[in-house]
Amino acid sequence: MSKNKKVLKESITTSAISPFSYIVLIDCISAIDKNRGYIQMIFPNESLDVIRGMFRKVFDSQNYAKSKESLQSISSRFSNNPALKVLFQSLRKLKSASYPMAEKESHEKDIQTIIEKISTFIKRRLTDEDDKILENLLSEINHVSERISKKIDDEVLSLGIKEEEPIEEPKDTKQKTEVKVNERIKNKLRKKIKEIIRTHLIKRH
Amino acid sequence: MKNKNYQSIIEEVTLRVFKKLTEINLVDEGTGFDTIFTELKKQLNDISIMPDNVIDVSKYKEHEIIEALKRIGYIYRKPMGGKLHFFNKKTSISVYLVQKNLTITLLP
Repeated sequence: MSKNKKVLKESITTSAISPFSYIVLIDCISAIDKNRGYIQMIFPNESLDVIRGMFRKVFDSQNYAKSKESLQSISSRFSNNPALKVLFQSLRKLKSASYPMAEKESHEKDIQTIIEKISTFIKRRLTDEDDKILENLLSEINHVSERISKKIDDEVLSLGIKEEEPIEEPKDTKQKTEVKVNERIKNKLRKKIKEIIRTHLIKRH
Repeated sequence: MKNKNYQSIIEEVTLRVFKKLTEINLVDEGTGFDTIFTELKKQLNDISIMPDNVIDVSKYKEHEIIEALKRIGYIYRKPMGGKLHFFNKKTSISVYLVQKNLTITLLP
C-alpha cells in the first residue's frame, strides 16, 4: 500500500479507533495468557486474573480464535520494548500521582498525551496485515479499551485533592489582645500618676 | 633523522589504531551473517542457510522467530514493505524477517 493511501486510511479509521485500542491490541495475548504485559504495568495492584477478566469480550469472540497467531506475532514484536516500557512507566506514575482538584483538567490532559504518544508509537510500527487484524477485532478491542479507560478515569478521579479553605482567625482573640493592651497601658498610667502625685506631695511638704 | 622519528611515530600510532580496530566487533556482511546464523541456531535448531545469505526459518511460527531474535538482542524497529526490521543496539546490525516466506536477510 502506498504511503499516501496509508495516511488516508489512517485518517478515516482513527475516528473509530481510540488511542487505547492500540495498547489493547499489542497486549491482548499477554493479558489473556496471564503474562505480565503493559496493562499490568499500568495497574500494578491488580492481579493477572483481574486483567484477564477485562479481556473477556476478546477471548470469547470467534474472531479471536481466527487471529490468535497474528496477535501472538504482534504481541511478541512489542513486548519488552525499552522505549514502550519507559512510556508505560511514565503513564503509571502520572496516573498514580495525587493532584489538586483545581488542576484536574491539565492532569487529565497530561495522561491523555502520554496515551496518545504510546498509541502513535504502536501505530507507526504496525503492518498492513496488523491493521486488518485490528479492524476484524475492533468492536471487541474497543470494548476492552473503554473498560480500561474508565478504570483509569476512576482511579485518577479518586486521587484528586480538594483544596481546604483558609481558616480565618476568630475576631474575639483580636479584641481580647486589644483589651489586654489597654489594661496594661492603663496600669502604667495609673502608676505614673501615683508617682507624680507622690513627688508633688513630698515637694510641698 | 627527524624524518625517521616521525615515521616511527606514525607507524606506532597506525599499529595502535589497527589493534584498537581489531578489538571492536567489526562486522561485514559475510562475518555478520555467520555470527547471526550461529546465534540463531542456538535458539531455533531447525534452521538452514539458503543462497545469497538468507536464513530459512520457515519451520517456526512468526512469534517464535521474533522471540528468538529478541533473545539474541534484536529489537523490533518497524515494518518495511513485507519485512520486519530488527536492530541490535550492541552490534549495530539490522536483520529483516520476510513475513511472506519466513526467511531472514541482512539486506533491507
